[in-house]
Amino acid sequence: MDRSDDREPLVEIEGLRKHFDQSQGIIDTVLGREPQPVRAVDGVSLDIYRGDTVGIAGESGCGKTTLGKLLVKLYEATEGSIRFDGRDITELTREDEREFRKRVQMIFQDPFESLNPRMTVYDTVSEPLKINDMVGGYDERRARVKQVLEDVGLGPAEVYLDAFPDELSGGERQRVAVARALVVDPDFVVCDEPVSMLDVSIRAGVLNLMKDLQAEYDLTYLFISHDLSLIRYMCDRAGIMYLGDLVEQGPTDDVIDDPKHPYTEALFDAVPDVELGAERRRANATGEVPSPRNPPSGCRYHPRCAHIIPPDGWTGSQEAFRRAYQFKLRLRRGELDAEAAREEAGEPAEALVEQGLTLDVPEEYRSEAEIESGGHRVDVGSLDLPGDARRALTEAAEAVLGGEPDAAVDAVDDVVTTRCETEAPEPLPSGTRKVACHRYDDDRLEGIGTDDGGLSAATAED
Amino acid sequence: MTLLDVNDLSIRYAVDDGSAVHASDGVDFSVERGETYGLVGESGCGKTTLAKSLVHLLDDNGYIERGEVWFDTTLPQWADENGDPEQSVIDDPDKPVRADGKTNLAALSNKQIRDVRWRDIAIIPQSAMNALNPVYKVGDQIVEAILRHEPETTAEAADDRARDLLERVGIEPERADDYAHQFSGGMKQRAVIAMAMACGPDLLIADEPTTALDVIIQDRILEELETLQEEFGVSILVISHDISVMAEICDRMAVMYGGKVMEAGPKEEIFERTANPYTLGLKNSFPTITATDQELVSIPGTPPTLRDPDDGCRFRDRCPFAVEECHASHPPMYDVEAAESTGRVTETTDDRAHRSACYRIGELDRLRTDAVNESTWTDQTIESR
Amino acid sequence: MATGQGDTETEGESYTRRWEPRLERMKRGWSRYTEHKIGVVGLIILGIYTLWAIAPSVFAPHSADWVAYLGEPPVQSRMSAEQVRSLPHPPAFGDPFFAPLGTNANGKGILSLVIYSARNAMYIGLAAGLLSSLVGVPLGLISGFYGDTWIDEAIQRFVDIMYGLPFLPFLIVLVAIRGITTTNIIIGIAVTSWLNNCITIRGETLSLKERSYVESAKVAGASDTRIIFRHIMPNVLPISFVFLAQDAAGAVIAQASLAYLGLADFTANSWGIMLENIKSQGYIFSAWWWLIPPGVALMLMAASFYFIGFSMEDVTNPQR
Repeated sequence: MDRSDDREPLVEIEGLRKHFDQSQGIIDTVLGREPQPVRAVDGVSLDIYRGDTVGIAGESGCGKTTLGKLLVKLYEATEGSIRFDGRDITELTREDEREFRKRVQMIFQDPFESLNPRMTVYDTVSEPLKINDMVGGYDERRARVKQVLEDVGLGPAEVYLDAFPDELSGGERQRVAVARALVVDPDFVVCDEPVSMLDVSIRAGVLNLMKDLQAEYDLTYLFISHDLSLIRYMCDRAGIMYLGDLVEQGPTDDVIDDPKHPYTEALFDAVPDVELGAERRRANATGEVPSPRNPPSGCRYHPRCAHIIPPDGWTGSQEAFRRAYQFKLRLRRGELDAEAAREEAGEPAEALVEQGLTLDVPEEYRSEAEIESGGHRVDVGSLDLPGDARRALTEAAEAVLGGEPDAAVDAVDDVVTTRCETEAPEPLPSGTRKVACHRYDDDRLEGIGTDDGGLSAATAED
Repeated sequence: MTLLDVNDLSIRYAVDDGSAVHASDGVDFSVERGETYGLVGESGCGKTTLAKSLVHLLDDNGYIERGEVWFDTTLPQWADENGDPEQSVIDDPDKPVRADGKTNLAALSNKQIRDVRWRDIAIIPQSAMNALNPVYKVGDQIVEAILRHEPETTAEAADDRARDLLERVGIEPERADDYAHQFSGGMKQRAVIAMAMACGPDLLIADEPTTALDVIIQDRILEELETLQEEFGVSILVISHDISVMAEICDRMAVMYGGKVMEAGPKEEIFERTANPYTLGLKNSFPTITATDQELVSIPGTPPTLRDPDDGCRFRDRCPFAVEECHASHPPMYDVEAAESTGRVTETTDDRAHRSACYRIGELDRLRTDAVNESTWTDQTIESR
Repeated sequence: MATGQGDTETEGESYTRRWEPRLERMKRGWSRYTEHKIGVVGLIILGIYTLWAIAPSVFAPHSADWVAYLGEPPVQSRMSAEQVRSLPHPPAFGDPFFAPLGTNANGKGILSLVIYSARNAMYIGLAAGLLSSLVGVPLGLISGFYGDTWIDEAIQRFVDIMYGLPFLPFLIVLVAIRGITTTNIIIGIAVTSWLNNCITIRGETLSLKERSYVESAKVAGASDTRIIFRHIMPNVLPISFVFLAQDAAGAVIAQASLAYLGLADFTANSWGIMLENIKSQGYIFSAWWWLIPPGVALMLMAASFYFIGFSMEDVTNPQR
């Protein structure tokens, strides 16, 4: 699948960023408050080759829709470049922009919102032609619209031409939206969750239509979806987005069958499957997605990661480190509850450590003590925690009880460190794909990276 | 033991012009204690209406046309000291109580049903994310629910219970003092589940419990529901369009289409020995994450509007297997087991059996083989529009 | 656009075909409108007023200059003292004269005055309504479309300032400077009534511009003007109809109130002036036939504007 050698990419994205300044009002400016933009897209690099369908998957708020809108110039990029067919789309002349608008189109998520309720099907589909002065004369235009409508399976077209969107079913509406995108005969179409609002029995029809049209119209698709099974069905290549960045990209089957990035792994584990009997592993990720306004430093996934890397010289187990790191995170967020610990029987510092070392994960990844206590206690003795780390944690717990949160953070800061927190991983090639994870940094690549058991071996430790 | 037994339930919505939308039509199913039962179907198939009607939460223009909803509970005023209905109530023909202690919810007045709601049957609403009131503390909302339905509880005891409930669904009890906006999406969903569990109901109705959630959170919520069921033995009636979620959590399910149950039975039976053209079509159109080279085939046409439908099979317009009699009347539920093993076509009244509404139940092998072929579905001509 | 390319015959033909669906749509719209009884009632009332405004002489029993006892001008004689004392005269049907709604203190027939005043009211209502829509709707659209930019900010601050303007004192100053004419009063009313219009349309536009059909037009390369007027405006028209109707009704009433306060062009016939006259001449409690007709006429006109506005909203709204 190594296509970069023989083909020119149609779209090249490099270091793309889009930050949304959330209404920095006059008061904020006067008070000198730092604007804290939402980092919707934060450093995406991706090549899209002609004729491919590239899938972008991720949870809501990961920036996948913003990425799609950047590609069709609905938003201006904050930083980085998008090159379409060799030209930077941020620096187009008026004339070139017209040309660009004809070659790039978008299909939107909600067919009940993407068609103007005041325009007939003919008005809607012919609008791009009129805007771009593409087909002269009413009759020619009408003929072109009819032809496209029939191509998208809305035949005979006469029935639909003068219909308003509210007279159509969801599937028909989305076909009209597809027709509107294709009427200008584009090269590249961004599809933002094109079937997520449609009923299951109708979805396949629209998806297959899109596949057929790809051949007929010689299209390149960017297919955005939160539904990984759809990505698998539609896409040649897939990129997984997390908090504005692509954590992994490569041929779809490879990415799904053998995920390398811990987030990808968790994401695929979380998908329920209709196949019965096969016991599914649950997603091993702690907590929920943090705010894109203030994403974690280093690797953005590290606070939730099951495979966070211990520092050199860590003598305990990786799981113990993951728990110790959770302790540190709780400490920083001020989530350790000193009150509750004091009420417990026994040493309050001990109780606080036990509380801080818990993991917010599905039951199968919890320790026995955790399951018994409903996820609020661990048995420190059963963890493979190095002595110095344990001392640091106890010291920190005592500082919290003594009302000195800063001292507490200092106590663990030097012991519980990870480069996942300090260094942002570059997307490095690993086999057929690119993965942005320190576990695959060159020196480690030999050790864990390439063999298929990479992640499962690591999981077995837990 | 059967907890809920729905019999021939038909629900309609009155429309201004005098017609009626037959949102649910002659539906039969039953839910055992401790079981998860799924109602699966596309939007507009009547699954949400059906669930709402069980506890009289229909919109103003909706009404129960006929049918019974037998539920294993007794209203306080009709109960003896054991909580069972008094013999005089059972004997009274005006009171909708059966000898086995079940009460027909459909026949209760709106005042009486309030005793059932929440205490016996709780609902996790479709947009659970918005079900929390933003101006009250989350804990207080749970406390209020408890006090409303169990007025004898002290405020303190209710508060303790609220915190305990939150802890059980994986939220730290201190968060009870937070407001909804301080909760993340997953936590809101958990809080709503905690609230539904507040009065220890026997049946939890979960309407699209995970639809608005991201997949990793959905995964955790599904786990949560499973844990709750193990812990409290509560029955769950799940309503969803997502077949893969259903495949994961249900014990039994009913596939609905156009207000009718098309196929029902144990989950494994439905998935592995599918016996209805609609279910076969749905399976064809659903992508799975594990399969590599799948060919999806959609069901041609669009779902019917349910405004005064005719007598024929609801699915016949989109069905490649439709025959003459499908146009005459909607098929009754046939016993799939009997049809498969002996080739006999027999109607069944057993709500628990694997049953399917299709006249061609006798030719199951052929249906199954043909349904896999794309041409079966694409070659038929659909009279749409 | 390159429409000139086709030969003329097919052009003509295509124009008919082109308009056919639109005609069809208008017919459909009309049949939907007639479903609303209240809208039809409004239309009938307004139709009557329109006829009155166009041709008052056909409907009124006398001209506006007719005087009781003396008849149509030119008048040679004068009323006797007894005749003067009988004014305002209650409804009379031929004896001593024909005035079905009686007369006022000057001997003018009330019915004739009411009918002759319709023109003035229609003019003020429609002119003020249209004027405030013509200002409010485009400004609201522009302000909303460029939401959170300096354009929006400028328009909104201007609106805020205008809101601070006290209506009555402003109007008094305006007529004091420019003279009491109907046109000036219309301007005075429109200057304040477009504000609500603008703010509502802005709010609507703010939400509409996030719709994906607007984004889709942008992707296709549509200019801002095209997006505002072709894609967004048709969707705010329903509310602007309601506002047009409200403003028209409001203007008619405002003009009457102003007249009651003495701020009116007293050479014109107007219901407000009739009411002001009955007050200034002290017959409010004695001459019901003089008091009620202009009041009812005023109320019905305002009501008919409202009725039509609400029905129009429903007709132009496809998702009902």
